[in-house]
This record gives sequence, structure tokens and C-alpha cells, in this order.
Amino acid sequence: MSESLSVMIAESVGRKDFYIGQTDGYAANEVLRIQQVRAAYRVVLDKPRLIRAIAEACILNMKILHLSCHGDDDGIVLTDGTEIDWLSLGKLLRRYARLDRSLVLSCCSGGYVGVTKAFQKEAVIFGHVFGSTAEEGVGFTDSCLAWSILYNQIYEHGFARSDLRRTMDKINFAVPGEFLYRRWNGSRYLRYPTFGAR
Amino acid sequence: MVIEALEKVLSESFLDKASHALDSDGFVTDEHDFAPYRETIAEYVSQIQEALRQRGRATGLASGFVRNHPDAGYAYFIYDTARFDDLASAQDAVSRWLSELYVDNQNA
Repeated sequence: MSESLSVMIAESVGRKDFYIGQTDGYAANEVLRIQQVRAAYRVVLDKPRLIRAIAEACILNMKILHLSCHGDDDGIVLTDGTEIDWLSLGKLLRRYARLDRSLVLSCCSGGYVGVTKAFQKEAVIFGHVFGSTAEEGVGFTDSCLAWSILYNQIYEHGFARSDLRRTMDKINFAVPGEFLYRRWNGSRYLRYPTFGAR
Repeated sequence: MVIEALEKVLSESFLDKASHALDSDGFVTDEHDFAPYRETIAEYVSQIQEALRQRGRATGLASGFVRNHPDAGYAYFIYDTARFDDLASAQDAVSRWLSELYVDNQNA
């Protein structure tokens, strides 16, 4: 078991999502609590709170930052409607990003190649960036299932490459959403698995 | 769409490296390490051509993009019009170059 797993969850879904409880970050937090993984859950309504959550993730030395929000090929949208393009998100994440840390982008286009292209441009280097590449987007239920499997498997097996590949295979066997990771190889982000052109 | 400022793009370093890439491959893409971000390079194709001409390189340039490359998604590029018969030929060459660039995806 991976005793060093720790996760900062920053949730910034839409107002309606909060109202009806469609909060996949909260669900991930519950899964992590069951496994007694060190985790912190923050409601991030706006950009200042996102910056604060990122700062907390640094201070608490969390291995994974899980950002739950709405997104598209251009960037993310926070609860208050603030749009943050991928380059700008990269700038915000720069202080947190390290090779031994990972980012889970739980939003539509979170696995889009443009995300890591922007991060690379901003010299924002994570060990892994996880997300979905489904063109039709990814919904609440599928996100909950996917990240539950991911955290369970990382908790059990860590980030060993062969195990992580199997984890992604398991997720994609069980859940529609074309989930992948993009791993920094020293010069660019490489992805596993391949679904097509996103 | 995020377009970088022209004065930031037209640096001596960029023009020098772009000139080398045009010599060797006939194109420069946004995936080259020295290139500006995404669509920027295609946006400024005429200005880049003019800047290269002022440096003594009389190259006709045009812009294009590769759509939905399996590894690189959308990739934007400029190319030497004397080196390729048409845009499609340039796109093919850029696609092959991108596939080679991301060949390590097999070991991701």
C-alpha cells in the first residue's frame, strides 16, 4: 500500500451542481477517507480561493491536486463563472507543480493534449496529469467512478508505470470517458492510453 | 485562442532557429521547442517572412495546421512554399514529423 498518497481536492463545480450534490470532488474525498488517505477538501468558489487551495496543497505537501470543475478545450470555469484558460491555469499551478506530484483534472477536456501543451509552455511539470478526452465530455457519475478506481489503485500500487497502465485500462474498461494520463518524460508529456486525436 | 505579442515572437533567437528548421525540414511548428504558443506562429506568418527577408532569406512562407494528429492534436505551422507542392504536402510532412516527435508515446 502507498502510505505516501495524499490528495488536495479543490471543488469548483457549478452552483446547480453544488445545490443538488453533484460534486465528484466530495465523492473522491469520501473514498479517500474510507481508505484513511491523507486528504483535504476545499470548496473553491472563485479564483482567490483556487489560489489559496493551491497554496495549501504546497504547504501540506500533497502528492496529488484534484481539481473538480467544468472545462472545455480552452480552459476551466469556476463556480462564480470565472474563466481560466489553460495557460493561465498553468501559471497558477506553477508553484505547486513538481515531478513527484500529480494533477487530476476532473472536468471536460481535462485530458486534452492542449492542457499539457500549455503547461509545457509555462514550464509547469507534473509527474502525471490525469483527465478525460471524451469529446462528448464526462459526467458526474463517470467521474466519480473513474477517480475512485484511480485512487484505490494508486493507494494499492503507487505510480509504478506498469501498474498505472493497468489502472487506466481498468478505468476505461469500467467507465466511458476516455480517461488517460500524460506523463512527463523529461522533454514532453506522453500519454497512455491512446484514444484518437485529443 | 491565445496569441503571443509579435515583438516577443520576432526575437533573434527565434528567427535564427526558425531559419535553421526551414533549411532542414522546410517548416516550423508550434511543437518546436523555440516556437511561440499554438496558433501564434501561423498568425504571424507574413511578419516572420518579412523578418527573415530582412535577414537575407528570401523565402516564401505560408501557414497551415494539422488537424487531430493522434499524438499532438491540433498543430500549427509555417512552411517554405518552395519546398512543398501544396498545403497538403506540407501537412503530410508535418504529420510525419509529429509522429516521430511523439514516438515515445509507445512507452508512456
